[in-house]
Amino acid sequence: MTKFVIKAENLKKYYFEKRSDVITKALDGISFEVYKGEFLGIMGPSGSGKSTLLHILGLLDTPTEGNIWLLGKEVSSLSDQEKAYIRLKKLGYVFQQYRLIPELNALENTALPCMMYKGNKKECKKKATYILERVGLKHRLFHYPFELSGGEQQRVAIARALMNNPVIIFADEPTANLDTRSGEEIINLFLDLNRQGQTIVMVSHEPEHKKYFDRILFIKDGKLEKIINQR
Amino acid sequence: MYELRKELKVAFFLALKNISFRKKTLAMVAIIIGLGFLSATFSSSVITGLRVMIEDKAINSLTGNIVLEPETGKDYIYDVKSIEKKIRSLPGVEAISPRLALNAALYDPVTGEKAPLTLYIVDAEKEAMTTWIDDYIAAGRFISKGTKNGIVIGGVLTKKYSIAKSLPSLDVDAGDKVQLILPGILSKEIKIEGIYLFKFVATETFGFINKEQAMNFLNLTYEDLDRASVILVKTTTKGNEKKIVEMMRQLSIPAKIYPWQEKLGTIAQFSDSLQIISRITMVIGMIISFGTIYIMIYINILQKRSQIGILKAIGINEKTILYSYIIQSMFYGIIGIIAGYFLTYLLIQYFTTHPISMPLGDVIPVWESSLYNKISVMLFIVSVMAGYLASRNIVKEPILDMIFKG
Ligand SMILES: Nc1ncnc2c1ncn2[C@@H]1O[C@H](COP(=O)(O)OP(=O)(O)OP(=O)(O)O)[C@@H](O)[C@H]1O
Ligand SMILES: [Mg+2]
Repeated sequence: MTKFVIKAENLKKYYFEKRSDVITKALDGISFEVYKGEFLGIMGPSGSGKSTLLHILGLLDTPTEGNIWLLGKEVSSLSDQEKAYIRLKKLGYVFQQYRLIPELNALENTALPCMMYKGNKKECKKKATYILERVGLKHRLFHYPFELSGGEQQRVAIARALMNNPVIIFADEPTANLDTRSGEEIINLFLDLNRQGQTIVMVSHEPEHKKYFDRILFIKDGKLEKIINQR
Repeated sequence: MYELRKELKVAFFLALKNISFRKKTLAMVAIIIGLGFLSATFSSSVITGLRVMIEDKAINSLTGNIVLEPETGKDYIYDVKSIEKKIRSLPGVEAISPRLALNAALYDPVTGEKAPLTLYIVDAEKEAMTTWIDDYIAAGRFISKGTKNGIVIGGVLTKKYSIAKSLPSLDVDAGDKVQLILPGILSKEIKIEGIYLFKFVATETFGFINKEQAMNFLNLTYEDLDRASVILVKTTTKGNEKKIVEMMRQLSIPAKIYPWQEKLGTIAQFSDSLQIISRITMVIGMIISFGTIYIMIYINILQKRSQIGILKAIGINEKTILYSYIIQSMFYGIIGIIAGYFLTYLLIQYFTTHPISMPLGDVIPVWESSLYNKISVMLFIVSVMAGYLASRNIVKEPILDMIFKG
């Protein structure tokens, strides 16, 4: 019985530095699974390869070697277009720097993935309104990113990631740019979503975050150091 | 998977948001494309204006819309009265002026200077209705039926008004008396009734006297005057001459009949070469427009690199993003073309009330709809191509490079 949504096997990511002939092994053979409904933390020192791993899992980057199965399907052999469609339909991604579209207001930013998927602007805006309410932004629907605080922008980014009911949400240090209070609010939002069954993989290097995760992957020098199970 | 309908919807949505978010960019691109349009349209319109002016001056002084000349081997067209009658019955004919030409010269007995001219014996009223000579009088007045002993001459024949100083001229003005020398006839004293300025050397070496005067002055009879060296026909509209010429040719008129286009061959060639120049400026305008549109759109897209990366990261496919930028370029193109029409309109309006002064006369640029439409289509295609070429490679770049390398 496979309860995992992602299975990663022997992931490697090497960067070849042409000028100095140095090879950076950002990932050096990592294998693990992400279980359905869990809140998985990825922790480790700076430069250990956490972001690299998340990018590869999120299909934003390709591994030098290794395989990824998403819902039982191997994805590294898929075309760019097919990967884009998986990102649209099955994955949600939250960046440290929010990364909203500056020309779109909160509602439009949130609705965009739905418009691409469903093609019905009205229906998508309705759903986006509902999700923005859920993340506590009912009063900010028509604000543009530059009119929103960092915490609010990150909520919009989370709402956008939720839009197409993804099987998994990736978040790369989503609180690193925020003050303590806003950071806590964002973490609580993730915890809420997780309680409702949302699978989440989050990179963090804040020791206080440890307690929230169901499991934690510790990474060092591109290798899996240990996995801690807290449930 | 992705569907074209959804791709276009999202592309259109993003394009519209992008454009309306940056109105200054839109205004700037519109003005630049508009100026490209203007540079293509305006020079052509001025050159067409110049050509039209030259044609009109030649038609209204030298040839008329249609010109009749003596048959081969003859010096004159005979039986002018009956020819006039036949032609006048044709639709589209407005006026007719038979001219009888004599080689003559003006002579100033005080200075001993002499200026040759072609002397036309005309019916003053008919001439006034057919040509513009009477409209360009700079001093004195045009001859009329009652004028006795008076001549109207072109400005080139006078020192004061000449635009071609190398040609022989006399130091005379309207109202002065000079000697008119005709071959085989004694010279006679004549008064300069008026001087016309056409700014057109070819038609300013003429003198005009009326028939009545020619009869007693030159001892000519009615029969003598039922001849013409040339007959000018004015039609109601420029451009329908060929049809009327066809009709005339069926009337068995004892004369050679030409529309002005055939008589003004050298002028047509001249304007053809002007047209080539205007086409070249048009092509250069196009190339400059293409370059600026391409650069503007390229810079615009470069600034959006990280945004394109984000769009790709959240699952918007490359095609949609490409379409979005092509649609933006189309917008820019359309707005630019509208701006271009507007600028062209303003400029032509201005120069219609303030004609451009050229040595040959005042030029009014001509509004050329069909040319402008062609330029619009070309500029539109150029915009779309620039949008496509500028964006097609950027959208293919790796997502992380775009998002994080800025
Ligand atoms: N595009 C790249 N080219 C070359 N080296 C890279 C590139 N991206 C990452 N690296 C290297 O790979 C290693 C892992 O980087 P990564 O960003 O995954 O670390 P991280 O664990 O996320 O660090 P941090 O906690 O500081 O975010 C680092 O040594 C980094 O310098
Ligand atoms: Mg990182």
